This record gives sequence, C-alpha cells and structure tokens, in this order.
Amino acid sequence: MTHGPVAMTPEEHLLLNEVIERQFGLSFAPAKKEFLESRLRPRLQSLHLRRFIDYYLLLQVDLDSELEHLARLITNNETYFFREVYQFEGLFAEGLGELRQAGWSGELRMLCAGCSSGEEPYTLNIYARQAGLVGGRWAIDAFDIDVDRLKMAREAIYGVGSLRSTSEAQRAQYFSGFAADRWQLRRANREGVGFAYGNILDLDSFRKPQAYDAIFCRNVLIYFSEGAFQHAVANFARALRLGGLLFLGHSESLIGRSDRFETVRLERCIAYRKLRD
Amino acid sequence: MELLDQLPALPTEARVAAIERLIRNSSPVIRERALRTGAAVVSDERLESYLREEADDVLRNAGLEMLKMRGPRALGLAVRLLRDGDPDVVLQSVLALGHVRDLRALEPLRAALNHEDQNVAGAAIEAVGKLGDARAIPDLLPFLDGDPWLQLATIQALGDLRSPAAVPPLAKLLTDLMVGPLAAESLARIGGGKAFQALCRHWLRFSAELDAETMVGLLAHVLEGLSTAPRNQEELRASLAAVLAGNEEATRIAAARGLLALGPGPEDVKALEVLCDGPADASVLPAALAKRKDLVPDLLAQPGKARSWGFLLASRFPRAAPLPALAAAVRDELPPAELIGSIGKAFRKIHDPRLAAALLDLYLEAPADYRGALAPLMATHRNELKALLAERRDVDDEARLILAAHLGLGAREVVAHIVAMEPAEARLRVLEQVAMQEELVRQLPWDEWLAARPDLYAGLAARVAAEFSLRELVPPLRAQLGQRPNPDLIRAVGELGDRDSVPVLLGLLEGGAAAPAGARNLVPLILESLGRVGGPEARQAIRRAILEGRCEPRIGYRALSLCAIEEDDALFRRAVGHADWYVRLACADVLGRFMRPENLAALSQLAADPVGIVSQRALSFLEA
Repeated sequence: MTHGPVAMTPEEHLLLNEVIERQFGLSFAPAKKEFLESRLRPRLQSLHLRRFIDYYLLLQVDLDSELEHLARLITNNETYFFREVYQFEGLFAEGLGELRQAGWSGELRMLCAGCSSGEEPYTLNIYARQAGLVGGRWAIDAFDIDVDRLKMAREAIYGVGSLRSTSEAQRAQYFSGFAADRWQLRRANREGVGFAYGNILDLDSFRKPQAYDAIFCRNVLIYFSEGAFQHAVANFARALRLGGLLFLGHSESLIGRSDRFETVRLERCIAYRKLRD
Repeated sequence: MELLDQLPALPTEARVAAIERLIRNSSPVIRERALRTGAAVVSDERLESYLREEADDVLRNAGLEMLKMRGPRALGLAVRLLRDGDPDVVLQSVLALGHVRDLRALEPLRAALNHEDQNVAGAAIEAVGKLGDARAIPDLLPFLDGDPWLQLATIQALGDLRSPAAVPPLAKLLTDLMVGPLAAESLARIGGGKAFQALCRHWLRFSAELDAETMVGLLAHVLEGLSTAPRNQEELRASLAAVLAGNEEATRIAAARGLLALGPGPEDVKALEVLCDGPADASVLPAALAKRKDLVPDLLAQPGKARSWGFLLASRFPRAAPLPALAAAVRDELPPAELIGSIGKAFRKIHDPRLAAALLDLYLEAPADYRGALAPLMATHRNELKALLAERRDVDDEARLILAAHLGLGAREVVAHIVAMEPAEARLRVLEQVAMQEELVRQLPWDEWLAARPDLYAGLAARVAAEFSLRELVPPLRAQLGQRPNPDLIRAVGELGDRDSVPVLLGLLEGGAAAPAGARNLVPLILESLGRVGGPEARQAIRRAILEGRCEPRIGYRALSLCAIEEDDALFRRAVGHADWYVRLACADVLGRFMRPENLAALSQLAADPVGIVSQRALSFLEA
C-alpha cells in the first residue's frame, strides 16, 4: 500500500500561490488549483509530505534550497526554434536604426528573459549572425529560473518538438544529427550566447554592469499577476539602456500600462522603447 | 474601520445603527463588510423598511443587497413582498428571487409576469429565466411580440432556460437590428443542432455586416457543444478559413475552434497552430478537439501544449493513438505531472513492448524526485517492463531494484536486497525511491540503521515514520531531535503526536543559546508540531510565541488553532481584525468550535470578511 498527499485545500492553494507570486510573479487563480496541485504533488510525494500545508511550512524554513525545485515544477517551458521570428527580423531591420538614433554603436547587447531550454536565444543568435552587424559584434545573455532547462540549453540537443517550425533546409544548415530524432545545434550557432540562472523579479540576478540594447521576454509575462508584471517591466527598464528596445509576446502589451516605455512601430511588429528608469 | 471592528461587541440596536452608517462609507471594502454583517443580523422587519425607503436610495439599495446576501433564507420575506402594493418593493423582491435562484420561487414569479409595472414584469421575466425551468417557456413567449423592454428581457430569459423549444422564436429575431445580437447570444447558450443551423445561416448571409469576433465565437461555442459535427458545411468552412487568415487574434482563435470542431479539414494544421499560440491551457483539452481522435498522432508529434492535448485526447481514444507516435512522444520529453493520469489512462488500454521500452527510457531519464510520480504509469505495463528489465543490460543495479519494487517484486525479496546493499549511501538512494511502499517499509531494520548511522538515516526514517505511523521509531528519532534537529524529525514527532517530544521541541523553541545551531530557522515547523501534539505546555509555548512576537503571526495562530481549547478563544477574538487573512481564518476555525455569544458576534464580523475563504468559513459556522 502506498500513501500520498491528501487533496490541496483552498487555503493551502492561497498560501502557496502567495509564495509563488512573490517569488516568481506567476499566479494560479482558484480555477487553476488542481493544476497547481498536480504540479506540486510529485514533490510532496518525494518529500513524504502528507499535506500541502507541510510544503508551505517547509518553504518558510528553507525557501532558498527549495526554490529551485519549485521553479521547475511550476514553469511552463513551451518554446521552439524560429518561433515568431518577425520580432527578430524587426530588430535587425528597422530596430537597429531606432537604436542608432538613440546613440547605440559598437557591440549589440541582447537579453532573453525566461529563455527556458534555449531555443529563443539560439534563434536570435542565428538571426544576429545573418544580420551582418559591422564588426560582427554582439552578445546574447539568456536566463531562466529552471536550472534543468538551463542545462538542456547549454547542451543544445533538441527533439522534434523544438524543431517543429524548422524547415529541412534550416535543420541541415544549423543542426547536426545527434541520435534518433535528436539534433544538436552546431557550435557556431551556439557561440555568443551565455546562459545563467536568473529571476525576472530579481533585478540583481540578471543585470550586468553594462546595460542591454534589446531585451526579449516573450510569452512569459502572460502568466504574471499585474503587480508582478509591473515589477518585471520596471526591472527590464533598469536593465536596458536609454532608448533600448523591449520585445514582448503578441498577447502581452505595455500600451497604457507603463510610462517607462513608448511604443515603436516596426514594419512587422511593435517594440517598446525605454524612456526612463 | 474602527467602528466596523467594534460591531460584534455592540448591542443589537446599536449594531444596526452602526451598519446603517457604514453602508455609506466611501470604502467599498467597508461597505461590503457592513452589508454582509447586515444580512446576518438585521431583522426581517427592518430589512422590509429599508426596501420601502423612498427618500434614501442608499438604504433601499442596501436592503436589496442584504436580501440577496441572505441566499435561500431570503425566500420567505421576498415571496411575501411580491404581493406588496408598492411596485418598488415588489421589484426589489423579484430581483432578490432572481439572485437566489430557488425553484420554490417559480410559481410566485409567474404570477408577477403580468404585473402592471413594466419594470417589475421585466425583472420577473429575467428571474424566471434564471430559475432554469423550461416549463415556463409558454408563459414567456407572448412577451416577444410586446414592449421592447419586455422583449429584451424575454430573449435573455429564453437563453437562460436553455431549451431547444425556444430556438425558432429566437431565430426569427436574428435579423432585428436592435435585439438580433442578444438573440444570437441566447441561441448560443441554448446550443444544439437547431441553434447551430440558425446561427450558421445568419452568419453566412450577413457576415459582412456582423461583428465577426462575436458571431464566430458564438458559432464555435455551439459547434464545440454538438455531439457530432454537422456534415456538408463547405460554405461555413470557407468562411471560417477566411477569418483564420485575418489579423484579429481573438477572431482567429474563434475561427480555429470552429474549424476544428467541424471535423477533419484542410485548415487543421493552421487552426491548430493558432489554437496553440493562444491562451488555452495545456492541461485542459480544448472543447474544439474533444472529438478529434484523428488528430492524436499530429498532436503527439508536437511539443508543449499540442502534445499535452494529444495525451489527453489519447486517453479518451486510446485505440486512436498509433504506438510509434505514442512511444516517440513519451521518449521525447518528460510529460508534465498533471498529465501522468491521462497518459496512464491511455496506456492502460494499450499493451505493447515498444511502449514499455519507451516508458523505461522515460523513467531512467527522469529526475529522481519525479520518478515516484511515474510509478503509476509504470504499473500500467508491469509484465512488459518485467520482461524488458530481464533483457536490458544497460540498467544499473540500483535502478533495477527500484523498478522491480515498483513492478511488484515481493516486499520480502526487495528488503533482502536492500539490507544486503553496500555502501550505505547506495542503500539510502534506493530507499528514497521505494519508501512509499508501506509493506516494504515496515519490514526494514530501521532501529539497527538508526543506531549505526543516525546521521544518514534519521531524515528518511522520520519521513516514513510520519507517513506510515511507525510509532516504534519515535524513541530513537526523539533522541536525534535534540541533537540534530531537522525538518523531518520535527514534523515526524508532530504527526505522531508524541507528547514526550514536547520538552525537546520547547527546548528548541525557547532554548536560546542552548538550542542547537539552526533551530531558530525551524520555528514554523516547531510550532506546527507543538500544535499537532497539543497539551498545556505546547499551548502555552505557542501563545507566548504569538504574544511576544517571536513568530510570524499566521504561523503562530495556525499552530494554536490546532490545539486551542475554549480558554484560548479570547486571543482569537482579539485577532479577528488582524491584517493577515490566514490569521483571521484561524480565528474563524477556533471561534466556530466554541459557540459562545461573544464568539458568535466575532464570527459575524468574520462573515463580512473581504477575503472569500474567511467569510465562507465563518458563515458555515454561523449557519451550522
């Protein structure tokens, strides 16, 4: 006979949601209680905890070491190569002109926030290579709260799902076969991309001394509460140089939600230009 | 807010007077709390006087809100007032009955349909709709041809009644410029084949003039609800395909849903792409895909959301899932935990060595703390996996033993292997993976291990002792608790209700410099365990921790709520206005346990709490 955790109560859901929202910005509404419960249940089983309140109490006494597990359990990692590339095209077409007007020159510094297993920063890297930047100088930093995903990103080995929008020609050009239905991104396409642990709500976890020219944070903030969304946007503003560009997912809009940015209409997409910290 | 907090302590008349002031407060939170309290304490006569109030709109509206908040308890007063001579009073009672939705109100409301005051009649029509009894349809139909105000109310009510009998009269109104959009919404709420045909005809004929987002959304909604997809809908397909290629995201998603619900078609790939890029949840199969078993292979071949939906669909139609696709999907990526049940449901009906091989690979690649969650999945292919394990040479001894335990190897045999295992660290790794099996756990020599290597075994021994109530392990665990306190040990003595551990826990809580290093960080768990064990010393210690501010209030109050006795209720009464909702919830739990008059008054205040879970808990005690 095996035992398992008993069902999550509404108050346990609220308590855990408070922790998750405070730490990661993600919010699981009451309608998502069962979803959250199913995500956390394996961890409780592994810790032999009978109730979700026990997990909440454990987070109170040992948040730092449990945070990594919690992040892995609750994050959504849906991503693939060449997803919504019009924003990359936009950056390397009119976007660079916008940045030049704001005084950019030299190395193009880009950041991918919530990069999961690396498909987005690597696609950005492929586009940067093709853009013919003068002197070929660019750097891409990418971060995520899920350390398992970061490990996958560094290995750069992907299955069919990650390559679902990759044509045969692109697959042949950018990847080498690794195993059955597994491909590894070629070394040249990996160079220039750095991965690190970081939390969108914790500016110090991802800010570098030199500000970024462009930040991509796509389809991540859609899961954030309004408070966390504002916190994230403020962090991005601080990490960007004045006039730097922020790209969000198509379902995420800053229009009317932040006075730190103004909307810039590029040919195929919109971006948000930093006005102030 | 101060006045609100004093409410429970005031005499009844003073309390009602205070409520009448508070309902005018500029803060919506205070108004809401005052109304909830009023709903609980204001008498029927007083409430009726509010409803009759002509000069004071605030009081009259408050009367209606209080009546609604009373729920089924409002029925008697509201039905009586339906016969009142004042149409305004009748209107309030009709609105309250519509809100309460109690079928006992149907007959009285039918009588109000022909009330001479049109506001009353309109409200009665809508209220009848909300009751949801289709027998009322013949009473409502005559109003479709009458006064526009009553016509609108009737269209709304017919939609609420959700009966196919209402489709023909509503379909006739679709082309009416004023009420057409409302009729379309009501038809969509009714659903079914007839409603679909009516909406489809209307869309195809007037699509250029209609609001595409609304109409395509309604069509998709109705299509998703049909038991079988309608045939020969080429014209509709073409129309939705054109919308799918448009720019408006919400309309494109609606078109995608409609096309997928229509059954297999050339737009499937694009429609799926649009649906996946939309906000739909990965853990819930979209209604548009619910009958699309033909899409299982395509969905499984994609990652993320699409694959999750593929597993969910495969669990409904296990025979529609081709083995290679299923095996490849399992191998490709660790499925999210919320899908394990659905995958297991699909796998239980499919037995094939190829699937077993995929499962084995998945298991071996999964992180250790996730493997336990996969155990039910592995059990679906027990025999195939056993055969496979015997053949596979690439599985190490530890994994082999763990898997054998999951696949039903006898507990005695597993125990013998574990006991013989060296070094102890390897044994512990295996134990961590199999310790959820009670029969096995009970046969293990925990005493010996704890005596030999307490540092290594105390944590796991504490966890299994708590989970399977292994009281015989308490003495050695208690000994460890004082020397090397850790979360597992603290939790175990609490779970097992070990009174002899209370002095040790108190030492950790209050020992100051004498307490082992790290004990201070464990205060929440120590308090929780003291609360679970209970008794005078534990209670006093928790009370001190609360009153001296040595713990987070929510942790302290929760712990005390686990073991509180009646003499603790004053402490909880004083905390009903605490800023933390979890403290107030603990107050509701304790005060509801000891129903003294002063506690009832405090519960009344909590019943007006702005946090739903607190007010519901308090109300449940008050109603009981």
